[in-house]
Amino acid sequence: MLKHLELRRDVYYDSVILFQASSQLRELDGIDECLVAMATELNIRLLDDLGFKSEEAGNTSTSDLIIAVQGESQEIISRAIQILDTNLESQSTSCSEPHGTQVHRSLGKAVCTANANLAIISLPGPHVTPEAADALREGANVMIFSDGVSIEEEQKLKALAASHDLLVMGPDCGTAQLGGIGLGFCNDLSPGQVSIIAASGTGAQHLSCLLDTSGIGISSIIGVGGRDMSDEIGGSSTLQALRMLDNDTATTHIALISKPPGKKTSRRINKIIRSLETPVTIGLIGDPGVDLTKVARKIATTQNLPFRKPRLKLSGAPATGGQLIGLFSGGTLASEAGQIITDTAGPVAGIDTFEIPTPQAIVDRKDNVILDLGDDRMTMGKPHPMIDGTLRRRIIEKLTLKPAPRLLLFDIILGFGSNPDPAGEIADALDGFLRSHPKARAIASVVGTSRDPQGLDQQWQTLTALGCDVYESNAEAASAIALDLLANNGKFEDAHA
Amino acid sequence: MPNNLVSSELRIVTAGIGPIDDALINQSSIPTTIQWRLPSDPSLAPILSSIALSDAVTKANEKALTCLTSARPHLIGIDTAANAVDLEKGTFLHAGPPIEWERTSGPLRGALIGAALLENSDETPEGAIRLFENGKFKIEPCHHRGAVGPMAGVVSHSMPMFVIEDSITGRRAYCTLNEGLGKVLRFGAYSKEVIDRLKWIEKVLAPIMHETINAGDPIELYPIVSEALQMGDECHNRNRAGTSLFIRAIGSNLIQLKRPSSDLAACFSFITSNDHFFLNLMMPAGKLAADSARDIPGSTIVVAMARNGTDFGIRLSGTGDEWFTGPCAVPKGLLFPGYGPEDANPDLGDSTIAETVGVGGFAMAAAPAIVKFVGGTSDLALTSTQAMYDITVGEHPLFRLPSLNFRGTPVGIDAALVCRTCQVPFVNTGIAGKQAGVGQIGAGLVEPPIKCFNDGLKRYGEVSKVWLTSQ
Repeated sequence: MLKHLELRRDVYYDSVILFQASSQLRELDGIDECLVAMATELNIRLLDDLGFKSEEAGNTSTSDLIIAVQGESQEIISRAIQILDTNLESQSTSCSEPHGTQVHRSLGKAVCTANANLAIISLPGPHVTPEAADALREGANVMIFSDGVSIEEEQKLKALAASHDLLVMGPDCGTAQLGGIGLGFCNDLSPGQVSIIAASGTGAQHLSCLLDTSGIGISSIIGVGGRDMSDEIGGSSTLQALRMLDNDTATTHIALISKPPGKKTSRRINKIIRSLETPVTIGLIGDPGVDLTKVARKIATTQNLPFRKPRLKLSGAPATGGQLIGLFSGGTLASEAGQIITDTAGPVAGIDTFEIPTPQAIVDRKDNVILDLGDDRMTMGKPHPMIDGTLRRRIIEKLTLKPAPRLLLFDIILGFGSNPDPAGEIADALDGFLRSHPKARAIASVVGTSRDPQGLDQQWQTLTALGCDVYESNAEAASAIALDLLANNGKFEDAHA
Repeated sequence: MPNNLVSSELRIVTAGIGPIDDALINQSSIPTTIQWRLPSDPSLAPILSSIALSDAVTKANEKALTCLTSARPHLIGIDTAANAVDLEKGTFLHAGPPIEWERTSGPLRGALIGAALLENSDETPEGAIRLFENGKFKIEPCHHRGAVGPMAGVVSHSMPMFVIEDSITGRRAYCTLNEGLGKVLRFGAYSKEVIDRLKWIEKVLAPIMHETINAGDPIELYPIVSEALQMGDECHNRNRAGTSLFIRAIGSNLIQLKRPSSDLAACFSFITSNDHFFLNLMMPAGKLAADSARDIPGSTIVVAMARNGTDFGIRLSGTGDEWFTGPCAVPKGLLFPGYGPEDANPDLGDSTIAETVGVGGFAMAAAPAIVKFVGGTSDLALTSTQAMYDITVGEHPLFRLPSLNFRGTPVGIDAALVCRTCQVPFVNTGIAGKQAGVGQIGAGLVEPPIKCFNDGLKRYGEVSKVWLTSQ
């Protein structure tokens, strides 16, 4: 073993840089021990501990650098010193990545840094509230895409928002449009003067698309969450949205769509509506005789604009019937269809009538059923059926194996955020089902605009080519089914035997 | 102005699933996205929600922040531990949360033995161990007596302590005088040179320092901290500037004392040859600030972080005297020549009071030189500090960071934010040898266990349940 000791006078390196340089040297092959340090009293003593003769260094001062290396050969030591010099040199010149923008871990701080006016949250339900509350305290409006937020937390978040004159969209707000930007699931709509406040995402999508095809453009869509107009929440977000849109010069007409509200909330909202300058059209989906298509027509009429009759394309197959099975990705479209069919043809079962709604249990049912596949009980942590159509495809594949013909009703929802080809995703399954059941029928309502990324015409073509009846209006599709069911009531009972 | 979101240009931040961001980007609206993490204890979700929703908690934390940042600590003199913290013979203070002798680590044991030898020159190490084992010698945390101690933090009855007073509240805090680097008591060394140095500190340095301090006005400590931050210290692991500023502040009074000039010179060079001399002033100054933020009902702010070499402990403002502990980690960093990672003891010391009051790891941006301890670049210094803003409720009005455009250091650690983000405080630390008597073997960074924060918040939820609903 050779020992090398040298002293460099009047240089300064930070001790930490020197620690690191020492550690790097010690890792070199053939280097047994080394010390690269300023010549402090402590380090001189350390030198002795390591077996070097500190007196060889002569008189030292703390501005001197000690380099002590013990290695197998002179060659190895010389190389080590070279490496050390390179390292010490690079300390002053090494360039690194420029420090980019800070990635935050909490929404409140991110709102602050970005001076944001809107925070969109799609976290697991139990973890939404802290982020939402922080964002509100920092002055941002909040859109909560997630469901699974308790009603108590919703109440408190909305009270917090109200005290800061802020808006909470949601929880479970799938759709909004602000400043021409679609948020969550939203269609590519032409700009206009009608704004929509909706307690339901798919309801807002269907209404805005029906208006769009009639040439009526949309200014803003504000989602408020399915529970907002319950008496527990009291319409907190709806009231804030009404005030905001009434102050908005770009909005000349407001559409308000919701399930029927709580009694107290209904009075409260009606009182505010009467005080607004902007006219409001209310559509309460679930009230007898109310559907989204009628709301769209009413808006056109009050605006003195022509309402183009929604398109439809029928396969021409005879109405041979069978029991109804409705497979919806849009919750409001499911309940709208359920309401219309119940009013005309008698009761339709929903998802709440299943103990466990497995695909097999669903196809085994022998009564008329309409299912919201976006219901928590169906998704169970999987993506929303508007994104992932696997569940619906599985159910249709299972239907194919059943002997009975069925009336199959479903929706196809286009737009930003949705599956890139929702009709294509179930096309093979539909084809199999229709081919194996000549007496079955498949009826689709397609929600979308001609500018949507999926291509409205392509989606229609896919469905009509398979032999589906295709409707632009979900209400009209449901009415047609209702008439079918009425006409064929009881006719196919024997098929289930 | 009423809410004009519908007519404004959107500036969006998002937390959650990718498709939401993708849809925005497709429409040429680029959101700021956060890196959200599931809390390490997801069962805390309900209490985290209640805390975030409560205006009263926000107010309680604002109050804690005001307390933390408005202390004005002054060095007023030196006194013995017997007088300063009423420390009786046979009781020894130590760093960190309470611990039983059986569970103490090597360096803490070594320091306790050393202090016993210091107090009784006839004692042997074996004899001292027996007295600790059979309970004749008692041990107690520094924090329980208004004191703090670096590393082992051991204080015995005759040791001199700095007396620091808050000019706002009149409150006092105490700390021993720093012994220097290498083989020293605080790293568990107790050889003759260690004991001799402690005696010299008691007999020569302490009286001279006391006279020097009293020869002028009380020395205001926070201006030194503020300036040291601008001179490359983060005031925990680098105290070179702070120590230099301190000796500058007292130098003139020191050399005018009517004492043997050899003693004055020895004191002068003892201080100037020990970069960490100021650490033992910064720590009690921090303790005063942290203590003034204690016992605020409903506050989730951390008012103490301390390690005893076995457990890492924290206290929250809203949960009183209780400590919440988890196992100390072994620091990651650079070791002195001749030592390997297997020689390192788990983290110890009360010096994490620095991070508690907004310096140390939280002021890493001020001290790029020492990011080399963890093999980092000067960017790491900036990002470390920046990450701490995510778990703190405020910025220090006095401690400013040149590299962040003179932004105040992040201060006021919110345990709720730590639990939510899984981001634990960055803590700078020295590394002690595992064997009693070895001393310091390196320096680096250590991660506090998230368990202390989770446990603290759980307890907070229990004690604040009534308070939260009554607000």
